[in-house]
Amino acid sequence: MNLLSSLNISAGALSVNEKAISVVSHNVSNMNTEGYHKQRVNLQARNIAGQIGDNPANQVRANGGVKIANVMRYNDDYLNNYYREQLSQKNMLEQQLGNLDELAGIFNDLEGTGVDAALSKFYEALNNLQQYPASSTARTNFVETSKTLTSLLNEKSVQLSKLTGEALGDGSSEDSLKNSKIYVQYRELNNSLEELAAVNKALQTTQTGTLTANNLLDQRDLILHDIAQFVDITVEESPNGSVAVYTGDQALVKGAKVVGKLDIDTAKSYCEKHGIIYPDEWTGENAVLSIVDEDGGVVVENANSVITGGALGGLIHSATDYDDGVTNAGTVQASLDKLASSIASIFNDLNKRENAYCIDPANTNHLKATYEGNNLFACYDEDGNETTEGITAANIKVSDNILKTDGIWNISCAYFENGDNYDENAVGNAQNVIAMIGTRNEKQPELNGMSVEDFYTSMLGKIASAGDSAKSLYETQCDVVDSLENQLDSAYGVDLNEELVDLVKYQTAYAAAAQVFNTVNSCLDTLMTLGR
Amino acid sequence: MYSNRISTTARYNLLTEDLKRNEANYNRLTAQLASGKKITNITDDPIAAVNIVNTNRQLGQITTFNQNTQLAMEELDSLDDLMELAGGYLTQAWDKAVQANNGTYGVTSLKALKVEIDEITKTMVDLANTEFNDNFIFGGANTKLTPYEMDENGNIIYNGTPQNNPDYIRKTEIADGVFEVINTTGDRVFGYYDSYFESADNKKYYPQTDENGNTIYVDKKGNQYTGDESALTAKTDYSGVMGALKILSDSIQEVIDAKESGDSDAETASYTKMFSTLDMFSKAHNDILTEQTKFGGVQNRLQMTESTLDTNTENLTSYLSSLQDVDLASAASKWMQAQYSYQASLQVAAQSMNMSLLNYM
Repeated sequence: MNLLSSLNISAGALSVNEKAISVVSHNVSNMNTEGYHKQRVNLQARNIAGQIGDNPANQVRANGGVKIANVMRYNDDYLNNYYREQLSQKNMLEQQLGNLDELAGIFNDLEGTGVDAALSKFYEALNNLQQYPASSTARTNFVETSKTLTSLLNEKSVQLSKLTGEALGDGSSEDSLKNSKIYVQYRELNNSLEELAAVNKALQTTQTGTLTANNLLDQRDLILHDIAQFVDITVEESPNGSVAVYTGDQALVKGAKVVGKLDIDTAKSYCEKHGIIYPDEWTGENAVLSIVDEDGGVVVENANSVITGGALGGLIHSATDYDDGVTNAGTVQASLDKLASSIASIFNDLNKRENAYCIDPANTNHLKATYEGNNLFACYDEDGNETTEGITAANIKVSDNILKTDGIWNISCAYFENGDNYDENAVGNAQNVIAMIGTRNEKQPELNGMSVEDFYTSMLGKIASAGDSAKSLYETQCDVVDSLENQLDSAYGVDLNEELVDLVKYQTAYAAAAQVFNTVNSCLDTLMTLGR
Repeated sequence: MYSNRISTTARYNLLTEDLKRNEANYNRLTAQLASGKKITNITDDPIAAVNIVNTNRQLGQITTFNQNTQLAMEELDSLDDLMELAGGYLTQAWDKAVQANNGTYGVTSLKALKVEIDEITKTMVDLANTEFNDNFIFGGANTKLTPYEMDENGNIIYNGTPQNNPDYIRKTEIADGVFEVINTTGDRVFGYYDSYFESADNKKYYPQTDENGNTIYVDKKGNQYTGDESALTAKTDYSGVMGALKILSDSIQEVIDAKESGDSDAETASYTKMFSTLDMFSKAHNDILTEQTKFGGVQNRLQMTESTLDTNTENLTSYLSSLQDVDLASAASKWMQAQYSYQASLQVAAQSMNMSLLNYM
């Protein structure tokens, strides 16, 4: 009964083309859906089993029309892995660049408003003082420029801590951690890990045979890309489409379980838990990430060193001085502290040295021997006690000794090479100021053998070139990622022309099958009327 | 199979990226043109940024050196004027000394001469006590202490710091690490006359009459000598024009006294003393000339420094401009190019976005 089988075949063809058109329709609907992979219906000729032997009729009988072999999802696993790798790298660089950009903004001294200009003004005031060592105007001017210098150093230090605080929190307060960028990222990452576990679970129950659960796989890949933005990962796929995700050797998700969830702590509370004295013994980051398993058991106590890639890796390492020659907020803070403490010690030493003389406030036409504790710069502890130990950019101040009423006379301008030459009337002696001016070109061993201003400029140069090279690295990486995204889009995106061609193709096939059906139907009619 | 495939999404994304790139370039060039600066952020060009900061610092230093030089030149100008005046008065006094030594002058004429000499002395002291910018010029490092005072014993005492001692000179910085000495001292230009009693421990005491009419010995700070009076030795230190003036005045008085008492031996001795002042005046005149010449040289150097500093400023300013200022012509032409290519990409995007088979179905 070939006619009836033809009827069946064309009915099957109608249904197959209907399904094919529905796949086209699915594709077209999702042409703008993020992460959607184009699907394609693979058709296959249906073969009806049976011995053929030498009978050609058997050959015809074996033809069962068309069937859908599978619905294929366009994909390229190699490209996906490579893309995720580069995406991690890009996000890491982005965080580093963001940090350096803000650093460069803090130290943008091109307009003459920065520490460099304040240092110049400071030395200019010294020059003026050298000409009029006994003038209260010159002395007040020097004190004012010193105040400008110290408050600028304080301000830059505050800006730096704020920069670090925005990234990682201030290291001690929970609130500041919760408002930091790292906290937001850590939460997003944890969410993504949970989402992945859920999709894995769905895949385990859905993709049970040989055919793929295309839409779930799309979701899974999208979440993997999300995770790769935060940390660098390696992915292992099982036959049911669920994946295990590792960062380094550490598993984060295995199947339907999040086996390595992140937890975050301030450096202070981490130290408290581990018996480390904070902040004196702590040289690490302001925030500490740890990895815990699904029951909350700690897997990795301090995961900061494990997490090196992605936005999280870039951010966590963006503000700590590792003494590895890489410039970031941490190294700049350390340099600035060094600068402040070295300025303080240079000028305090000169102001207090033997045979140096300040002016007697009781009679400003007379010199008075300088004394121990006659500091120009100092810092103050919580009780307001003056000390010169542990001066940093954050706490350096012009000493109260100088700021108090009549304090200006405590600046030691005079110095007698030969102590016997001391003459209390020699208020015009400015040898000590000349020595202070001399430090402008003096190489300081504690400043890596550079002068004060050169040290600052070199720090500036480091920030600038680090920022510049980070920018070009980031731009290159963006190009790489962009080009990969293009390749991926090209590989599995929906192309309208393709779909329209397919649509017409299936429509035509559908119409043709319908025509065959009609023709076979009329043949059957003809058959029915035979012999009437 | 995928190699030639390009999806609609990919095409849209490519178009968007190209648009963004063109837009960014266009914005950057617009910002450069608007600000006139090539670099607005230190990361734009690290080397140029460091150079700009260094150059700004050097320009600031040069401004300071320039101010120092100007001020030093002003002070040296007045120093020169004062020494010129001092030289003039010295010549006058010298003439009087020659006249007094003449031997033919009678007591009245000599008295008149002495009055003139004493006037010149006072003028000279006033000259030596001149201030510049609130500082005594001839006091060395003792800028706030009047350098010369005349006490009741007729001493012309120098209160300033002694010459040629590195602990007392005043200097000004005229180039990086280069200091120029800008003061001389009174004892070098004017000298002094100091007559005092020296105690056994080499301290100076001056005789005074107390309220009971007794002679007491007091040091400069007002401390009274308490030791044995016989241990005090009378001493006289003098030098320069001040010494010469005082000795001239004293010797004229001695001649007058001798003439009036008719003591011819004393008169001869006094004339000998008076004659010795001629040499002193000659030497003092030389001293002043030497100082004038020395500071004339300093002034010349300062003038040269000033012009060097001006040249440096010009060079550095133009270097700074080359570092940070936009070359308007090339920036404008680049900006036009960027505008064209941005426009072109907009047009292409607009027209090709909706191209698909759909238009023909």
